[in-house]
Amino acid sequence: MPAHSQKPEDEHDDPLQAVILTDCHENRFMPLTMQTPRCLLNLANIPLIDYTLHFLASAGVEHVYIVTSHFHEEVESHLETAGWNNDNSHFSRIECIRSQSESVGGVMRDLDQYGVLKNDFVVVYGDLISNLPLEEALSAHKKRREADKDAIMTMVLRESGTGSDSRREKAPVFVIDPKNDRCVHYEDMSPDKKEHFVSLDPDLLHDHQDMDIRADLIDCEVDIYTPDVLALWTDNFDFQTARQNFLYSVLKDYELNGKKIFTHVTTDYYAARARNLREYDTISKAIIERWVYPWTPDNNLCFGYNYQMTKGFRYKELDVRLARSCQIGPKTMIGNDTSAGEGTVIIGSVVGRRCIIGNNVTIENAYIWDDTVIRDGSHIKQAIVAKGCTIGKKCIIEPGALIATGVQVADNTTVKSSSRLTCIKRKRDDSGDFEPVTTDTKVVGVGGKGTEYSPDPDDEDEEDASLPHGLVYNLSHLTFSTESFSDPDDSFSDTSDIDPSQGRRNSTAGSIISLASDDDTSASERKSEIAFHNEAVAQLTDSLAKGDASDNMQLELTSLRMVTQASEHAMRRAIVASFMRHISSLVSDGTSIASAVTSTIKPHQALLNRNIFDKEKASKVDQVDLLLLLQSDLSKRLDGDAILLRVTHELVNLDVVEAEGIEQWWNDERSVASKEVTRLREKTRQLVDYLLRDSSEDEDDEDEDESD
Amino acid sequence: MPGKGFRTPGLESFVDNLDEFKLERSTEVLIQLLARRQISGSKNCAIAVAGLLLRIVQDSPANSVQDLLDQVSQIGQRLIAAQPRELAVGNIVRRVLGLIREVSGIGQDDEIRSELSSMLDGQDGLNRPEMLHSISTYSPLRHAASEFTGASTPESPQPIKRPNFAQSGYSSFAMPSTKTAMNLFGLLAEPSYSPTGTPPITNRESPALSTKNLNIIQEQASIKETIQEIGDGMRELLDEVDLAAEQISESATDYINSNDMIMAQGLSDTTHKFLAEAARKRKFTVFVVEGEPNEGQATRNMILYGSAKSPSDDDGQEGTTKRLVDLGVNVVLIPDSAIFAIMSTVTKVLLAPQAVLANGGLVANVGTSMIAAAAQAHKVPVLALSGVYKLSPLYPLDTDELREIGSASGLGGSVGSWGKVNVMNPMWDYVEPEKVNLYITNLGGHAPSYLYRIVADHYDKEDINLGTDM
Repeated sequence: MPAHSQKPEDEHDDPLQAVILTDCHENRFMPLTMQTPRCLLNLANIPLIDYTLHFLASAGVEHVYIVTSHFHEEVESHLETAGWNNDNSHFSRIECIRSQSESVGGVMRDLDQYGVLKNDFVVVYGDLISNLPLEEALSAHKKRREADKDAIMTMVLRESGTGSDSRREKAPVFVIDPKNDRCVHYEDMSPDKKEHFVSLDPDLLHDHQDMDIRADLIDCEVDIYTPDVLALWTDNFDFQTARQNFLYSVLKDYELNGKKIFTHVTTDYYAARARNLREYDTISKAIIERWVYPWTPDNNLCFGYNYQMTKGFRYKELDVRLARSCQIGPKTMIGNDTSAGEGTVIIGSVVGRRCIIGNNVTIENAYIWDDTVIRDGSHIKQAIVAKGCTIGKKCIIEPGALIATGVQVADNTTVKSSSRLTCIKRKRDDSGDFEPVTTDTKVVGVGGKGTEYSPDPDDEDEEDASLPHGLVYNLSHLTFSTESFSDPDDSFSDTSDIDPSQGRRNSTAGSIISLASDDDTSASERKSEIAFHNEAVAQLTDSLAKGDASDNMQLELTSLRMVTQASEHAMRRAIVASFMRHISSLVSDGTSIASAVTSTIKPHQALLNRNIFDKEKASKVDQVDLLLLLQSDLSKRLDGDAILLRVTHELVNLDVVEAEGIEQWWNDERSVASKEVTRLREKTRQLVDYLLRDSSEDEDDEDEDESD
Repeated sequence: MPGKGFRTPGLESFVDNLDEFKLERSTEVLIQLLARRQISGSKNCAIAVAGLLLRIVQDSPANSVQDLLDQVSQIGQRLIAAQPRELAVGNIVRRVLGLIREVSGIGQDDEIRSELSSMLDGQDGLNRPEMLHSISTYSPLRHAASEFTGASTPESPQPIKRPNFAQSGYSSFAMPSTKTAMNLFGLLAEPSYSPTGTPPITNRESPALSTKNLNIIQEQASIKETIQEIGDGMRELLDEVDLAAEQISESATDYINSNDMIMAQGLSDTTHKFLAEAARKRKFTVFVVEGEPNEGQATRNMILYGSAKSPSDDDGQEGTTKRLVDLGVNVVLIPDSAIFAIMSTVTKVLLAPQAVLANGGLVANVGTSMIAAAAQAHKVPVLALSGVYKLSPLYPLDTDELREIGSASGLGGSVGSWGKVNVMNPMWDYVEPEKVNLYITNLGGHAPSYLYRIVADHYDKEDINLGTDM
């Protein structure tokens, strides 16, 4: 969508370009992001992307490319209404690019193909909030670039200083040569890792006299790229993430590619990304407390706002109607056309536009978005109530609750602190459409509308969604698996709420924890395993749908595995998950189970075989593992038992799994660990019985001993 | 590869692009620059606004002066709304509006004029112009309303000859060195009543118009001429802004004596020039107050390098101005906390206001109020150096609203304190008129109580409440 057909007046030889990645391929704001992309969520009553655009505009960026995926139209129409792409915009070009890619790597490769980025450009995410001036970083970058063609990238980092927030999601470790700010090594160190160490290449010590090893840098992923970087992404088709994959590998392979990456560390200014609700909360407060000046509400940077500030960080728009006895506490923001009744107390909260707040309502540290109605006597604390909700009389919304768009809570209802209420859900078919949920009166009361949000079990990506609890400081209600938290100390439990792996682990405890056989794997390894899993499954499912050759799939999988150092178990898990997903989607399209299974597994027999390494051994650990994975995966799916039977049969037929493997699996106690899995395998009993009879003639039993 | 280098938007890039961009885009860009505080400081704001308005006037498709007035006041209000606390923006807009009225002769208030002429007739010093008989109910924040009403213009303006200020014997206007060029009204007094200055839509009965043989072509030509004149007047205004600091410094030796002990609030451009000029003839000591947290670095750089920006390692460029120490001034840098202690030894205090208000009060960097109070306690005279363009016709009814609250991280907050510690960083202070002894402007020295008079001379009454909800 070229925003401007002709604008010769603005065309410089080398306009500064920028790319905004709006889809971060994670869904931590669910169910708030069900129908709105994250970058359009309101933060302090202004859509997140507007902050990012202002950041770029203030840095002198002229061309902006916004990469969107699911919510292309929404983003475009926002740009239209907010006046970003009219003729008088600060950007001479602003363009939305739709990308179907599931990862940053994919987006970068798409951009490379798109071929519009000819100059150096800035890459940011659509949830960046910062008042950093980029001028210095840009000119330093340019100077290095002129001196050295291989200086391909500059990362802008913010020093966190003393007393920094220990609850960071990741603690990236940058090893920097202080002489020329070159980054020589990067590692993602999770705060939950037991051993805190960085493994440095001895050559580095030889090449660099000084090295700063810094874990105190906040990485908001503001990068200055040269077009070469895109080419590098394209060359390395297995790179998925910007830091863990790309940065780590490029630095590691310096000998090979000779590319240099630099850092620009600032000690002042604000920079943060609203990556999760926890950060959403912190950033909202920072904006209200003017840490992000001049990005303050009363500067009314965006068109159509008219906030004014009075003492104590109270911001109000012009037309706010407050009853005489209504108390507005400090650090509060109230939008236009909102009214609050007698005796109502609003403290430390952000209230959107056109809200109607009744009498004697208490709103404390909460975020109330536009068009919401809160009736008399309700209490809301540390919660988010999205657009167009209705909260009945005398309701209590406990800290941490999330109420998504359109939910109606009936009178006298208590919304529990861990609730995430929604009134729509994604349709089961992959159309991406939404349908209304059946109201659960236990949750929203009689006469309400909405139900508890449950992450789609099919969609691994959405499992991050269990993080919204990040809004709440007290996390005691979260039950963490003891496996991953064997010795929680204070700082550790602090970090837990925002770590994706834990969050995920929580929601899928049944499938992952119970089958994870290696207790000693540290949590961070698991995290990378999960990252691997998500990527691998996405890749494989894609390839299956496209009908790629088995060899290519293996190649991709292997390269991905190399990057993340995933275990064989993880490989198998990814394969199982993607194959089963493919099969069940075929089945739901009307294919018979038998043919779905055959058509999926048969062509990829080799792929499966290559991940089974115990054909020669007596104890068939790998085969058992594969079958257990199958079992647990299918326990969540429709007709799982029938599919299991077919798949097992097929595997035996193709000799991927031997009869001994089946037998060991059948006798393994993990295969009857829960009611569900036991029920699931009942249909397969016949087959197993038949196979057992078959094999028992020449085989001695060696079961039981392989379990851990 | 980039050849020109990246440039953060600011005054420089704005002025460069002014001719390149379409008018509406330039306006939009300036509004954003003001709102993002990328153009800040009264001088920069004044130059940017004057530059934009000049372009509006030049490009104006307006076929009547009234249209032009409407256009300028509408854009002016949007600019004011973008940064209501930067009073220089409103000042320039109002002066341009006044200029347009002046040149075209519409919108003159007969009441004032008759009063003025009576005053001129009688030469009665006690008979004062009453331009401000309606005190503006100023509230900068009220500007922020997103809808704008066009400037109100009188229904039937009465044409009365504007008194020629240049000849009217106002001492303040007669700067010897710059003659009438100093003052835009004086400058324009001469042509202001040429028969060509006739707007077509007003039904005024000037002798020129009443001659019926004016045809449309002549009217068009007359508008062109009027616009030409307005443009000239605006260039004068730009010059005034640009040269204010130098003109102020010309009188430096009148106010600074040898062996003076001077306390200066920071080293603004104006203060620096003023002191540098005085140093040519006088030997004196300056105590420069640091002005932390917002101005500290700039002050130190000014002392060390002679420019507010430290010479960055790349260009290694020294400031163009000479450092005060090189000029033989004894410079002492003192922290803000030492103001009171030092004050007893000080003979004069120099303030550099951000804006001056019609009541004689001023708005300046935070800490100024403390200096003024200390000076008052020690009975030290306080001089404020300010160009006339900083003089606003507004009265401070709510001094809190005048203050800009800056970034909390300006106080050195670390990441850890984000959202945990409450930090207030007001950037400006209001100083009451009682605490200021003398204003030194490009028109000369004035007592605070006299400022209303300069306001009356420079602004049209019509425009004083521009942008406020009146």
